[in-house]
Amino acid sequence: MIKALFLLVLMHTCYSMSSQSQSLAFEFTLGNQPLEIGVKTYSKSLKDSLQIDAFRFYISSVTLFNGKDSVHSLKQTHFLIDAEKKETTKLRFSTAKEFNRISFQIGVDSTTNSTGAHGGDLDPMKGMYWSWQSGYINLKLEGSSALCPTRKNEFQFHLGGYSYPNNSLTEVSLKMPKGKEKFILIPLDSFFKEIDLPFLYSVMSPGEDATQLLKIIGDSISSER
Amino acid sequence: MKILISIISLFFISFGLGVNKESLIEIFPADFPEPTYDLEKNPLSQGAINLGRVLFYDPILSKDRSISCASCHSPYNAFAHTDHELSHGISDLIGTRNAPALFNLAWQSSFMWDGAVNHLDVQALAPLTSKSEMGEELISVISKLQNSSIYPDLFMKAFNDSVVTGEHLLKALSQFQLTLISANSKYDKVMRKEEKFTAKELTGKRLFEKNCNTCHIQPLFSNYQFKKNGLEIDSTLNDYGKFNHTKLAKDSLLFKVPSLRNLSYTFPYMHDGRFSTIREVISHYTNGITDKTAISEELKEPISLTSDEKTDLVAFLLTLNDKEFVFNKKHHYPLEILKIN
Repeated sequence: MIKALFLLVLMHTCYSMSSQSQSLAFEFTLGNQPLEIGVKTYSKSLKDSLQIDAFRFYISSVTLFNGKDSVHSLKQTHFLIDAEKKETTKLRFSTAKEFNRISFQIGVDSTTNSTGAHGGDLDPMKGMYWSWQSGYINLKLEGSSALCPTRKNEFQFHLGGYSYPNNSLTEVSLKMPKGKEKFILIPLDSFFKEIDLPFLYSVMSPGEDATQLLKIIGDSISSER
Repeated sequence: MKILISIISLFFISFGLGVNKESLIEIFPADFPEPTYDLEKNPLSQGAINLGRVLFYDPILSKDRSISCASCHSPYNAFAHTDHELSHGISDLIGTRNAPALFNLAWQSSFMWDGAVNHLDVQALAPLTSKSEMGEELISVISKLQNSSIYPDLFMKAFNDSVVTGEHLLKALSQFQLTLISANSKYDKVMRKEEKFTAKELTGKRLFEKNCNTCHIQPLFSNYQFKKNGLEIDSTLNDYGKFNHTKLAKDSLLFKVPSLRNLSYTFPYMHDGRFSTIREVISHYTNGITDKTAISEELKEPISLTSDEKTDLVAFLLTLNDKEFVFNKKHHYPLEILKIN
């Protein structure tokens, strides 16, 4: 009897905990399939076989909206999302409130970039920091494609830059379908469709290219499959 | 239980801050301006200063364990690299710049000769990963430190956490470097009315204030801004200073104004170490600038000094040597922390 009561209480706790929170996951696709890091994948729309070896990026200032009203903001300011580590791709919100829009930024803001060493996801040991020049790498995308005229056909995009005129922090605002299952989709085919891999395969410092490429990724993000 | 832990930690945090506030007053000279380094984000503690000091002198930071920070920033040279125009790294590789002296860093808001680094905390990442300096990767240093016999304990004493992180490593290096304060030269003692200038030094000071004071402002003897000082480009290095990282034409040939403290310990001079004596530097400003269009406003008015005036100016500049700073054992190899006799 006591056991049953305990179980009931436990179940209730679990239930009330889950009802007060919800989560939202990033999903990545290549060639209309879920992205597999380190696996060569054919994309019909690109007519190319690509392999992605790393896809990591910072997101910051995550806020949920219902209509015009902001209903919830995440306390943790920055998250490092790594397509290879599933546990990093899920955002958890401690609110049960309904929302129909999410806004966030891809990258690290200029204040965080100019205030010294930070810990957690922002620790420079995460490999998302330039060393010869101060600043976070907002997004890393590395891999290979036969289209790249490079050693081992590799491409490397280390995109960042926080100060004028190369501030690459990218705003994203996404409408979310009400009631249905919600997710944030980054289809990499859309990114590669916009760039000319035989000519643009290496961006490793702040500048126009980095800012432009981050914008292309930002624009490709969607809440529908 | 959680609440209890929070209360206990809150007690320790507030107690810790109290101690730190006191130590700040001790560290920063009363007659210096407000430091730019934000100590609230990295409150000084003896544990972290000690850790930073041990790290500074440990070649474990370099790829082949051959080079420490002190290899190019020697305490006896006011943490510069005397007699070397350009700094050396692992495998005898030679860099492209003259290692700058390290002192009074809390008053600087950008680092390196070209200002590519925006905060003291993240400065160490540049030499650590540069192929011609330490040639290492942060993640690999962290694993070497975590597996060492001394560091987990030193990190524990510094940050109450024996897990080595990049943040703590960098903050500890900052803390030690923040303690490198040069404020006890003859100049400082005269300003505090403890000593007096000689007649020559006093003449030199007047000449200094007429000709050099706009950029090398007292008491730090630099405004830590970036200027074009008319040095011709060295075609073996092709170093364009700030332009190298901003790629903006207006930044071409801009280099950081260095402090003039401790000149006797820090030769050679300039970003590429091209001058080995103070007199050569002064002569550059009086007769060495060939292209008057490619210099900063402050230097547009020609500087003219007689030979005697140059001697007096040097006499004043030598009063900026801070022997107490250079021989301060608290800044030297950490024998007592490592318990080496």
